[in-house]
Amino acid sequence: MTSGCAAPIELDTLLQYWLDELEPEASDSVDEHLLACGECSAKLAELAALGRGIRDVFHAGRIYAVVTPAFVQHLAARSLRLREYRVPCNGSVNCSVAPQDDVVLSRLEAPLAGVHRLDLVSTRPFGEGEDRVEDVPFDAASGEVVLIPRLAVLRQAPAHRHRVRLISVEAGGDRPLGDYTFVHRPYG
Amino acid sequence: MLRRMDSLSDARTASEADLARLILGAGPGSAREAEAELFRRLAPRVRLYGLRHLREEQAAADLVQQVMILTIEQLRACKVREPDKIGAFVLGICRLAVMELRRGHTRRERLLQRYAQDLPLADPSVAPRLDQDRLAACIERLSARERTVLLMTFYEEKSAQAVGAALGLTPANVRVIRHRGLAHLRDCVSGGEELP
Repeated sequence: MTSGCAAPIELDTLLQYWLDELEPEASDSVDEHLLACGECSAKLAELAALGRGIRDVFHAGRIYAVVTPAFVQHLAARSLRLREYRVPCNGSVNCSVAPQDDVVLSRLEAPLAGVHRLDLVSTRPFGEGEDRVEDVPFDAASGEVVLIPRLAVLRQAPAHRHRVRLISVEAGGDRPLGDYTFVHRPYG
Repeated sequence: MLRRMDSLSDARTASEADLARLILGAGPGSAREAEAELFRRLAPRVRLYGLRHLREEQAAADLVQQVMILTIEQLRACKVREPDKIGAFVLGICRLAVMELRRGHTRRERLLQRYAQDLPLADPSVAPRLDQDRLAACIERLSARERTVLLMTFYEEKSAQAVGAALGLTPANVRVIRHRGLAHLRDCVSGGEELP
């Protein structure tokens, strides 16, 4: 009879196996277990499906993300068509999205030296109020924060203005680092 | 004592070792249910092995065809000495086939020509597909840090060490964020909660 696994592999170990982070001996032993175990291989299949799903929704321009400059290089290396906007600190930019663009991204120039926690406050382009994204990841040495908006939403958007503020969160309170204005026009 | 499998339900409840024993020495077509069931169980595992080691869908699909054809053929020819360890046997073939595929010397066409007609090959490419609307909504619910780490992990295929170096975090810290992000994502994707 088929039965459950007597020694299930932890999810973290499966993830490290999938990402090739295990030592060769440990990886070999996971290989061996998975070929003989339907339960653990189903768990790995679920993990792999999540990873593939993340790639698919990103490709479809359906998620908003803050990424590193190195991530942008990776996109370029995959021959994706990138539309980049560099926005100076306290500056603005006219922007759009063309039908052939795969990814649109903004590089917000900011004095990040000494910043420990960075928050991003964004005005709602089509409504009142603002949203605060806490603890945004950044590469201080790069001097910029790279935003990738939802391309699928941007393609449908009418002309509008959108403001973003970067804030250094410090013991004494918030310290604004810069304001950035996007003046969006539909393509064409 | 093993008896011949008369129905699909017999095959579904048999262990993999029993299935292998039933195929052992059976001529083409005489252990069809057992062969189909063994294929159904092992092909997804071989596919995962292929994805993990070859990092490419088509190569993984090729691996499934090669490995499963060879496994069934070796069983039919009584060349599997320990049917109780059929998983280990398949792993051995996987390792050799991956080395061959990496060298670019695939025997796929030759094997398919010889054996494919009388083997019950199902579509091995079938893998769980997620509801993209729900997944996108779930990713939006993650913290910015979790989202970035998962994107760098799965899109950029960066290790914890590389993600940490890019974000000024330790690899251990990245693993914690990654684990938490994945747990949130799994709960959200499989949960019944309605999302905006």
